[in-house]
Amino acid sequence: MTVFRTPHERGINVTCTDFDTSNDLTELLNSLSTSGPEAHDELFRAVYYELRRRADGKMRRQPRDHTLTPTALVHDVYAKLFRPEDVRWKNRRHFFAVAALAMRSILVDHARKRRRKLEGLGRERAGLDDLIDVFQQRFGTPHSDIIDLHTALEELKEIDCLAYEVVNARVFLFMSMKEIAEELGTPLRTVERAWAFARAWLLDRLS
Amino acid sequence: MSDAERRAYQVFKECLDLPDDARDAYIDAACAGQPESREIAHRLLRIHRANADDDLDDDSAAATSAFSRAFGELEGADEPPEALPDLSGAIVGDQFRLDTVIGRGAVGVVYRAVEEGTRRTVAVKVVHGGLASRSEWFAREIRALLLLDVPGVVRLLDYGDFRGRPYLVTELVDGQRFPGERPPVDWARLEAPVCSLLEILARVHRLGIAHGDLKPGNVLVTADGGVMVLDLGIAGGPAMSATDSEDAIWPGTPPYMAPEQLHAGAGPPTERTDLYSVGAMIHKALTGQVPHASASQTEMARRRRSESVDVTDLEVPEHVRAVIAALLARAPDDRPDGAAAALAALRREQSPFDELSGLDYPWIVTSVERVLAAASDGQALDLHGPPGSGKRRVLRRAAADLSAMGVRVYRVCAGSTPGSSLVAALTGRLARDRGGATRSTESLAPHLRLALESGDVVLVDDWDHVDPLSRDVLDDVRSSGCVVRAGAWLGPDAVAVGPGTEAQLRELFAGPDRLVHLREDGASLLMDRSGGVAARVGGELREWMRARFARIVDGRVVVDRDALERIDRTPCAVGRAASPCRIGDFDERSRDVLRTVVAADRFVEIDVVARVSGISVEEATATIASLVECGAAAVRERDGAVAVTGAAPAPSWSPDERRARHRALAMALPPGSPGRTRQLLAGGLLDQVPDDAAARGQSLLAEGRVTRGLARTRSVLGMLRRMGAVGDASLPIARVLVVLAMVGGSRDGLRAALHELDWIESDASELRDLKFIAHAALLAMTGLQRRALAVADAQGPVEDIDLELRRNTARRRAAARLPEDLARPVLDDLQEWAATRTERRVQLEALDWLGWQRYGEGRFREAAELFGQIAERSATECGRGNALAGAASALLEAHDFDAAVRAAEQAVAIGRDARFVGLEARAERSRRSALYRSAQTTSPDRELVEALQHVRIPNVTGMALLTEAALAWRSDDRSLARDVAQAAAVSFADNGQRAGEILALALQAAVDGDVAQSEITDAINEIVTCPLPGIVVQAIGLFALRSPAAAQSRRTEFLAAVSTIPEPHRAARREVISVAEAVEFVALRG
Repeated sequence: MTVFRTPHERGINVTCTDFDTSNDLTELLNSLSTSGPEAHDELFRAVYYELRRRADGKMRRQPRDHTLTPTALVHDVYAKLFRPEDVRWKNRRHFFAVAALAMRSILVDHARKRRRKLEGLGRERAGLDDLIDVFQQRFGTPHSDIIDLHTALEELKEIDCLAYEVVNARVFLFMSMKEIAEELGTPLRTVERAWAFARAWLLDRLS
Repeated sequence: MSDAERRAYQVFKECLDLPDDARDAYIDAACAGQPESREIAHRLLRIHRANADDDLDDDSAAATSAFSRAFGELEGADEPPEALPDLSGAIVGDQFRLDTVIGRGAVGVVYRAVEEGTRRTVAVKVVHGGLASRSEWFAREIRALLLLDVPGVVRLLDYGDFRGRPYLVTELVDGQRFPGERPPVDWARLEAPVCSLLEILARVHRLGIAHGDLKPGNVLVTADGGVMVLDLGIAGGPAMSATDSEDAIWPGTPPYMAPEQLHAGAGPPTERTDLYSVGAMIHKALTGQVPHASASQTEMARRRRSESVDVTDLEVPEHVRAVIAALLARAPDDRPDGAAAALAALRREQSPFDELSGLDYPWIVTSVERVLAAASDGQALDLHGPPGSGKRRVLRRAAADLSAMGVRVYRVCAGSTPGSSLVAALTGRLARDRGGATRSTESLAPHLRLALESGDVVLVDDWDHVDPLSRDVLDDVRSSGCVVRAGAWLGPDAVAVGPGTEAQLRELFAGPDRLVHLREDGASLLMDRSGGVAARVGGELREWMRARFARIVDGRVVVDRDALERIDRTPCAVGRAASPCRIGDFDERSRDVLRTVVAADRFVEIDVVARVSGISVEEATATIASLVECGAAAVRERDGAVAVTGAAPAPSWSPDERRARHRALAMALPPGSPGRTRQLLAGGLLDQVPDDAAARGQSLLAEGRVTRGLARTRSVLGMLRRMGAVGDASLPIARVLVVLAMVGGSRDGLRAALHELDWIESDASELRDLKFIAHAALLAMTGLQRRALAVADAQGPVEDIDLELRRNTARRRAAARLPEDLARPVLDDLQEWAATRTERRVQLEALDWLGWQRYGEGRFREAAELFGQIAERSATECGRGNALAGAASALLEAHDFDAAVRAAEQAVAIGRDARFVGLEARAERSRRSALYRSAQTTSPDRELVEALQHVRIPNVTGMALLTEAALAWRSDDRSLARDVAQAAAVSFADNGQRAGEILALALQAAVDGDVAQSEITDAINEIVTCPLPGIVVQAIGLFALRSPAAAQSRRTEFLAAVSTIPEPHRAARREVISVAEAVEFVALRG
């Protein structure tokens, strides 16, 4: 089975010089349906890079009361990478799928790093810790570790692809059911069912 | 995945479509014969049920999630969309590309837009075309936003005209309409947004601006719970009410409007109407309905005007219900006295009185120690001091301390029945009858002696009013042990309690003395107003806290500079605080002198008192001595002159007498002297106030006391405004106010000045000129330089030479931050203009412009030379200080560190003496930097770092913090270095100084490396485009310590930047490191 890996796991070094022109990305997004996996990877790296840079950089320099939400981040990234009027509507689905994955891998990478560091020395909180806190609160199960969730999600992908997509969007982008239904072009009821299943399954798996 | 699992998942999903009570049966039926599947499906269902409540209910159709708002799919516009050309895709103001429509309001359409350069997402509001009145509203919003740089109100980023339609650009707020979720909401969840909203309103109202259209759609709650107020379309100051005719219809949203606004000819919105709107919003959030919800709007308006709101059914705590009822009161006067008052009531804050008990006055502590020492020695002790000096406080503290140590304490208080004082103390009960008391008292004496001998302590409060019998007994037993008597005068051997000295008062205050001088000035102000008398100190502090000027944190009084200025302008708390002495016993002269002293309100010199009361100085001195003795007055000696202030209420007199006394005081005080303006106001001599206040402002300006001058002149204009007396006569003060605000160089000062100018009713061209000049100066400081130049150019030049000078100063400031090609013509024009004038002040100002021009060109020596000339020729301390600070900056850049330190030290002294915070901070920054660069100091200045948190001056705070961070780094104090570097980065970021921000980040990376690799790469790629080679070299050098590879990748740019720096300058430290160090770091790690 194909397991989703974070850039860190894949050994990809994401730097900003690769992605200077938003034009290319708009093209890329528009041609995604016809191009191969490299295009997808490229898009993922761009979105990952932007999210990561903003999430960590911004939060580091913001006063404490300035909590950044994934929604705001994704919104920023979307605005930075794409000219909205050029992006065909249906392709937004790709964008959200990619953004959710990127957000997830950022949090997972960070949680891993944090876990490693915690074992060694006490350290200061980084901006991303806040984001993980928000995630914990939002997901609502204090015992659920984001890294475990990450692993479980890859299993879920094999079992129910729609459920997997819904969890990604809902948990990592904080999208509402209605928005997910619209973005996925799926009836709301179906999305709700998928979510109910995914939640029950994940909680079962994680407990 | 096994087949059993597959089947279980399928069945579980299917059962979700059934009602909950049918699901178990369905699973049983569908998995008949497959026990494994059945068990899995049941387990999932159990988990599903257990967590069903956690499902965040954000899917309701009405809730606009932050997400859809961000992406432009907004529902719930308050008005039906109006036909207006779709401007999506257009670029307004050269840099904002319009995207989707995110809202439509009464005035215009709001687009989401992206700023081309920074890619920042913003909101652009474009007004509907055609309707002049709408443009007028729009202008109001622009002005309101310019005046308001208040946390919680969207910030104005730009404005202008696009294809004939006005537009304005603000921050884009990503949030949901108040209260952030779909009503009904319970109070526990509502409390936080309501309190935030009231806090914001309190700040807005303090500036004299009412919002006028508060409703859920105009108050957004962000995902992190922050509250943002939008759409100040109707917000306004007075100018509007002056221009609008009586039957003007104020726009608004009726369901949230106050009853008094719901009829034609209603007045403009006020603080009270805003409070009603808040009440209506709370009502709607709690119940899902606005108050008086009705089938039609007419019906609702009728009911709102005639019926009260019934709040008895609201499920909220009792005190909250009371606040909501008050907010929704039909009569404006019945509503809370401002948003701050409503907030305090909601939070049920403790009365400040209780907090005060945690404060230890140092001189009281000293006296308590004396009592404790006497107790342990078994010795008698007398304490004395005038009423209010804190004797009772000493006894109370001593009693508590002694009891805690296990000592038995008897407290004797005043009594009139013979023996009652003692009996009450010993038995804990008042003696019921005289006979019993007498017998008891006599029998108590031996008992008391025994107790004292065994170490018990007797504390006698108010000795003069203890009954004679008890006094006899106590006198009798004093030799046996520790009897502590406290009274007004107990002979030369008694210990005097208080008054506190200024040095002791200083210990009461928290906060740094550097730059902001909070302890020094707090103590000096408190001393001025209280004379150090305990009761008056308490009375003052209580007033300060009640007015929210001060708080007590960890046993210390916390105030800020702004509050100190404001306190200084309010009358003393004298009359209420002091214990009244027996004024009835005074002779007529004493009464008269006391009246004069109280009318003066502050310390007034004795010869002035003598003149006003018509007596000789000797007579006045003697009378005042007797007043001081009984606690009715306090004196202070400063610079050889004795001054006096009242400490008791003035003996009764008629309002006419009082007014006459204020007039006499005004006449006795020299024009422009402190406190005279208030006497003129109180004496009803309104016509003399503007000139006097202007003179006072001028003299404060000349002394360099800019911060204070600004506060003073503003307050006088405010007082005149409240008396309805702001017309042509106010123009002299207005002029001084604008000059002070421009010299002070803070945006807040200019905002305040503009606000006051708005209230002045005059057709004089001078007023118009003052307004546009202040406006241009404000724009130049708000980052809208082009707009500033446009405003200054459109309405100038002006005839009045002083105003023209100010106009040109505003132009110079705007040009300083523009690109060379735009700035050059302006600067040339300024010098040409100056060359045609002969006035000395113009010449000095022109030298200043030229100095900064040279500075900008990198010709630092010449700049320093020019500033030096100004310093020599300047007639005022303020001008000299500013020039010296400029010279220090230039010398610093010219690497002449010793000279820079010398110039900076002089400027610091001038700034400190004048309490001109901006000047002192700027000069202090140069001084520290010069010391750092020449390695004459090795340790960071922690007090300075703390003080810098209080002053936020563009270009200064960030650089000053960076220097201290560098010092901390070099002295290996890593945690301080990291914190301070981070604070520096925040300060730079606040002012949009990206290069500084990156340099601070580089230092952070060098200190502890907790900076993401990607961020370093990104920062390095960005910094190489910076035009300042020194910054490029330092940043890359510092980053090399953490990320050698990233630094190496920009080696070419690094070396190019190094080569532009002359050889002799490479060894010297710059902001953080020297060029040589940077080269070493890059080479070492490469």
